[in-house]
Amino acid sequence: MTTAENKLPQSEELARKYQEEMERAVKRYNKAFELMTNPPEVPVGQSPKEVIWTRNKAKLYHYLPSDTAPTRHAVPLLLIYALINKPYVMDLRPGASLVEYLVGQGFEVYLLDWGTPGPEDAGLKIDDYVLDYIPRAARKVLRHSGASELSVMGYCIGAVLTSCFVAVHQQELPIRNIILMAAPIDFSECGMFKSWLNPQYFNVNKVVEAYGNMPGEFIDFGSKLLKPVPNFLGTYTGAFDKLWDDKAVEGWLTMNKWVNDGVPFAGAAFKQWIKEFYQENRLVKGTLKLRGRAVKLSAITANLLTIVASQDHIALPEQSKPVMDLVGSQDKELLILPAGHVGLMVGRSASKGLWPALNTWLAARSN
Amino acid sequence: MSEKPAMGPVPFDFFSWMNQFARPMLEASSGMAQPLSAEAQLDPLAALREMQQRNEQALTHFMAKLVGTPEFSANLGQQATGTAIAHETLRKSTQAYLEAASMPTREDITRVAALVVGLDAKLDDLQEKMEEAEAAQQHSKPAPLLDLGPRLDELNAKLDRLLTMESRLSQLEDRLAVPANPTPRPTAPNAKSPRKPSPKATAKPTETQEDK
Repeated sequence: MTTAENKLPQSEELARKYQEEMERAVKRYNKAFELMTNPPEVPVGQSPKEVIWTRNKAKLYHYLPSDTAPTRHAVPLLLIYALINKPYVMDLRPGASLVEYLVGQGFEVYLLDWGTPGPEDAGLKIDDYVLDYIPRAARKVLRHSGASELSVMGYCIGAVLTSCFVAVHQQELPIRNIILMAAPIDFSECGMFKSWLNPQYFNVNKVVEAYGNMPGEFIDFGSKLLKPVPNFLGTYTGAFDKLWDDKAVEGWLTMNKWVNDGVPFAGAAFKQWIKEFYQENRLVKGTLKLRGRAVKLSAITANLLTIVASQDHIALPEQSKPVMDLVGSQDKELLILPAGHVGLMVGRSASKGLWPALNTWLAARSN
Repeated sequence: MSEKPAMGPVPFDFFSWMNQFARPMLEASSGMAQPLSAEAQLDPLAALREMQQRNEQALTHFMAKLVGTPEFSANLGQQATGTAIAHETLRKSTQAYLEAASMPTREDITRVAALVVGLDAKLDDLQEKMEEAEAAQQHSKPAPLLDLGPRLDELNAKLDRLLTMESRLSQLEDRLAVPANPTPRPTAPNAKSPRKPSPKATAKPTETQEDK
């Protein structure tokens, strides 16, 4: 083969690539113009559901069962979401929805949505969430489903609330299974937050006193600052690169909507979260008390599944794993998946990793 | 001058602080100086993309170092407190203005909203109590309903026994109906309690029957 023969296919290849790239570039700029001039309203949380209970801003949703489910599990599942951002990330869009998947697998799914706290909720404490809201929702689930037992699954801060709830109510309520997903339980090592939220630098009392409730943007900024370049720049350069692909754009838009759709953190609860969890690590030390009731993780005897995202930079794997040695459960399992904090629950990797694993574990314990 | 200029709780020296980033910056720039990949050497678009990725990686590395320093934490804390103080000042002056203008302030509205929230909580508690009562009622109803069959059978049996006794009694009455002055029934000498008739007393009807 001569050098000229080698160069010819390369030139053709290059020309083809340029043409393709030019077409994509045109599509990119057209799409970018379209998105900037007429940003679309992306639908989220589309799985059919009904509200079965409300209290203050909180709502308890029951997802309507699927006709095509291969089976129906006897034990209902209550999802407890975090106090920041909105819970529709669990039901983002058709095909990218954990709720849709679980309903399709025959689970009776309920979701506790905390709503958006107003200034009148600045006094809400973690005590109120754990001792009033969640138990009430759990009793409502039992009554509505007619089941004799239930499973509870918490995500992020929701997982911490869930563990506190089960620790306090294990003897009072028939909680069979508990699933903790990306749960920051141990705060002895919590990455950058340990330094940023150090009482020497961060005056939580002053901040809460000024704002009442912590603005969602404030919390969102803190989370994004953990990885500033990917969050403030990379997400947009990456999106621009994919603008020619309508499906990728749709996925990005829904996720971006959720990321920027923060809710305020009730002031008193935020103060408690920073002081008693981040700064004093009371849950792991066994010194946490809610309205005088001691919260001991050793009181948890329900079957436990702890799900850890190995690349999670918000709830570090080191924060989630210790719960395994602290609970009193006989049946406990640790599942480590190669994902980030949110990618654990939604996205392509979730549909192949978390969802089937969760289904297998829960189905075996829900009949 | 022995004292360093202080910024917040951590002694702050800009140049010594920046010095720690010299290495990451050098590393980042050396990474960018690496020759481009074979593909990027032939394709300007691939070269642009590769350079953008390298820039982003270098910046990520540098920023990760930056945000992890105690000085950054101190500054962040100061920024948060400073913003909060500014927010509070604005809030208080707005409140004072609204109060002076005899207009409801945010606090007033919040107070009313808190009352509504409290009322909502009380209603929810009441609702739960009603639900519990309803559930208890539902649980208590099925038991007697389920027991009704045997109880009806028992009742039927009792009625049958009563009817049999009634027919026997009427037969007895028919037999006893004839004499106008029936002989007085002799009482048992040892009969003390009407509840426990003596064997003689219980035998009397038989005697009467025999008399007939």
